[in-house]
Amino acid sequence: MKTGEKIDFEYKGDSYSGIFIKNDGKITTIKLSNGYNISALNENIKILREYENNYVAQDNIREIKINGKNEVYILTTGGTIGSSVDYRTGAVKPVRDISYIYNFVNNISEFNVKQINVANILSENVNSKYWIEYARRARDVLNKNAGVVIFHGTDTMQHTASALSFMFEKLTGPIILTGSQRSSDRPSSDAFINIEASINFTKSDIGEVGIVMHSDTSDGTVSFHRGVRARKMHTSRRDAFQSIGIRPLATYTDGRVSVNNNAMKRQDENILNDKMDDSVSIIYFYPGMPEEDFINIAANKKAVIIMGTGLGHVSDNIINAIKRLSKDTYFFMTSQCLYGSVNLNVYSTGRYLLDAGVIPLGDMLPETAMVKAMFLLANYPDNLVKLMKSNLRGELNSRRILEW
Amino acid sequence: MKIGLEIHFQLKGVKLFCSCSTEGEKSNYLFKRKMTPTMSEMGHIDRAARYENIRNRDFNYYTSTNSCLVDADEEPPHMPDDSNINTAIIVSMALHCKIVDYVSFMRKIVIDGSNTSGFQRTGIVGLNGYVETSQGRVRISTVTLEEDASRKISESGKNAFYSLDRLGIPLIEISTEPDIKDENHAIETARKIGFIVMSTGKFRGEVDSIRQDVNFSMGYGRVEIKGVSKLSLIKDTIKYEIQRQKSLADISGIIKARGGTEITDFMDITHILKDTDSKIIKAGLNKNKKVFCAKINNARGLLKNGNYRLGRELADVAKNMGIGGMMHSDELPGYGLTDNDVNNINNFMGIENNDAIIMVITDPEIITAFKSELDERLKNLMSMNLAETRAATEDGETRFLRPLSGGERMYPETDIGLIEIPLKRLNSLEGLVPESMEDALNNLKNNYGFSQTEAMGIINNNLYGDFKDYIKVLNEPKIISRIILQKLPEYEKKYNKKLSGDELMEIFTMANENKWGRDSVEKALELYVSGKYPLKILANAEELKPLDAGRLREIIIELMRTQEITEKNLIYLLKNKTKSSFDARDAIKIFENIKNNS
Ligand SMILES: [Zn+2]
Repeated sequence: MKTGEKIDFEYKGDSYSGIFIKNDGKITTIKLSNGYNISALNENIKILREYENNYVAQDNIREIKINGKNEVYILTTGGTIGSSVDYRTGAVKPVRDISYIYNFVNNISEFNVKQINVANILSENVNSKYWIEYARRARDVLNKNAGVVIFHGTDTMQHTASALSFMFEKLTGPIILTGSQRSSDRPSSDAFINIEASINFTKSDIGEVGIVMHSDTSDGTVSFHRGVRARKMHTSRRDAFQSIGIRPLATYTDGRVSVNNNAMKRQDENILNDKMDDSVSIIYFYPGMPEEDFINIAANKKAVIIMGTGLGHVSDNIINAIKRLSKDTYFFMTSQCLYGSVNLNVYSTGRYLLDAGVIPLGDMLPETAMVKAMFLLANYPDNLVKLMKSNLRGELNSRRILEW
Repeated sequence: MKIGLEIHFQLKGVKLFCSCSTEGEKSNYLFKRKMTPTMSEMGHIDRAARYENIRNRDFNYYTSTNSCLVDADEEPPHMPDDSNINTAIIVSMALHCKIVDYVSFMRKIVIDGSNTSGFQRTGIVGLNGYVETSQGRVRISTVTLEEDASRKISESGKNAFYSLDRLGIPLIEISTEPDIKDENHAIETARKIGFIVMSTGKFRGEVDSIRQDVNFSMGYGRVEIKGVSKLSLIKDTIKYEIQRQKSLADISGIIKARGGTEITDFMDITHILKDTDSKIIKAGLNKNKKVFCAKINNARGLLKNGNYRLGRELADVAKNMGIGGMMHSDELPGYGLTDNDVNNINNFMGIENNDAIIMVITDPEIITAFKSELDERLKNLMSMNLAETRAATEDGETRFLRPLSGGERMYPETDIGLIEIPLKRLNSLEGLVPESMEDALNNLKNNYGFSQTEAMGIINNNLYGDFKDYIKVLNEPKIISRIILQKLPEYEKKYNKKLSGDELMEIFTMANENKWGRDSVEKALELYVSGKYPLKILANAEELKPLDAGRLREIIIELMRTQEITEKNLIYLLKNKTKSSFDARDAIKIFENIKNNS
């Protein structure tokens, strides 16, 4: 039997008709005419009659293709936003045609949207090879004078955003990563407004890589977060992404984009350094951490980002381990607090860490620091320490203000 | 005539897909969402879902003390609590249903904003059962377990406001086949089904805890009437619907005889009314709205005239699209419009003979969508294709809500796996399956000596389950029934205090241990409800100490000194004299003794 085929069947002594969905060897699933699925043990079900399959799936996609003046390329890479539910089996599959967005983007007539399928991958499986591929594709689009939006899984969107930020030394326009926390089969999905905002942000004069997601739980305002300062701070909420320590660079509300002064502007060319060095690790210190564990991860790495406690501290035994390894490995300090700057001058532990060769990274986010080290090791290995401590893309703030 | 019922019962305890309580109050935190229609399992956007979207509305939600991220659609659903599934199984068994091997929750697309997710989660637990009635079996198609929707607080223009306190409360939905003969039979069937759910002890029992939908057809298509709030309204609602469909058949016939009808395009007539004194029009114009008018030929005198209410059928479309105050020619002049205004409009529109007009005051951008919905509705009404979803009103009427939605709007809930119901679980629940109402009545009459009226009193007040619990500790059916039906409500009202079942149980246990008679049990109950004694020392209360023979004798002698005492008034006068309890037979014995000796 094929999925979608009409059948008559007997279940626990009663006859029904419905549409066959699947049989996994133990359980048969059938959609009844009232819309409900019945999942029955195979031994309790008897197929009485199969009808010829005259069912043809129809996609309800608006036929009109609009050729607005603003060309936008959507690079689909996978993740919730780039997937749709197979309504029959419940399985998740990649979106093969995103023209459904014509149904809900309000000012779609101003745009000419095209799709490039770059990957179909869960974002936890993304690595530096994908970053490089995404960067090259984005550059090609920007070089055509078109806008670029990347559909990306939210789990590691901040890593990809940081990687693209560092790889592009100059940008002629924004590179926008967007995703969704609720899948787009749901009428309540955040995808619709995130996509509308992303497409509209491509027209702005921002020359940065950003993450575009809901500003709060309401479907009202969408934020453009600087890629190197954005972080997923919630497992499931729509406003999971937050700008850490700075304001979002721009917001979108009801068709209006408003950009704040700190956003870097578009430049006249795209310069891409598409190399990454994977020999970097990140270590989260915890009380009682055994020295051997630390050494096992750090050994043979060119650089290690430590996530220390508070102002940037680790226990004495770990300081000893760092001392032993720092001849061959660079150690950088960030904080588990995420908010605020490390400072190794306040307590003696900090000063011992400096003596052991640890380099403090101010308020740089740990994941950003890791990606930055990967980028610098591949492109500027001789200036690693100096550039790690410098602000290249807005990843490092010298001032932290009390309120905004 | 075919009638079927879908009855929804709320369960109490914990919400279906999160850990919030079913009880709570609205808070002041507010958030806003949009709804976008999506594809259903079979690849179509459900027609009912698309209809809602034309309205392009903003949905605003107040959180509540019993809402969390799941209710706000900000966290995936949790696995449902066993207790809720067990209750649905027990009800299914009592209704002679086949229990499914696996409960498979579905998402039913609902984009009127009542669910934050845009769908309602629902799963079949029981299939193909029946309930016995005086007019034969009424078949039960399904027993499902589903989540309740948000409570609508208000609506204004494009904005709807909801509270999350009700969202996610477990509902058992019981759907019958259209086997019901008439409105009285519908009420009997609803009662019998209700008895079973209430007997589980898990029924929530608040004001809005039962809602029934009526499926009705008299040959013009199936009408689904949503939300009949009270059992007694089923009758009025069905009567109203019969009357409505009959008069539509008349209207359709008249219009056919006149040569058919259609609606012209809407014309902007704002300029004609720019100097009108009509308050309603002035208010609209002040908000930058425009007045639009369309002609409906051959409809004059049918929009509002005696039983003919075609105008109302069309106004429902406007109302659903957030367009308020539709006016039509059968009520003009009116709304502050003068004869002169009306003449100007008629001249501009070129009205003749049987032409009718309708007018709306609205934003221009919605008028095209409104027209196409209006065309569709008029076409359906005139061809007597009346199948649709309607809403029941509080006064027993119905109004158009949306087109019927098909099974198309369901697809699997992927966040919750299949829930297996093994045979072992069914066996363990068998002992909890409630009796039918018939069996309960017979039990009360045959085993406890109640009359039909007394027995119905216990059942209709949803006290049968309690009665069966209490009779286990105090084998005095009459005492118990008098207390639960009369005395307890009386004392609770008098002292403004609610007693729990456990407290009452303790008092009945005490009564059994102390061999209290009826008077003592009632006295003890009043003493406790009034707050005079806690349970621990209630049994030792002074007022409950029986008078010993000596003291009883003294009081009787005292009474006899002041007035004429007979066997008939003795007990009454004694009760007035003393707060303490006494044995009436002893008192009479003592009285006779004194009388004989004097
Ligand atoms: Zn909750």
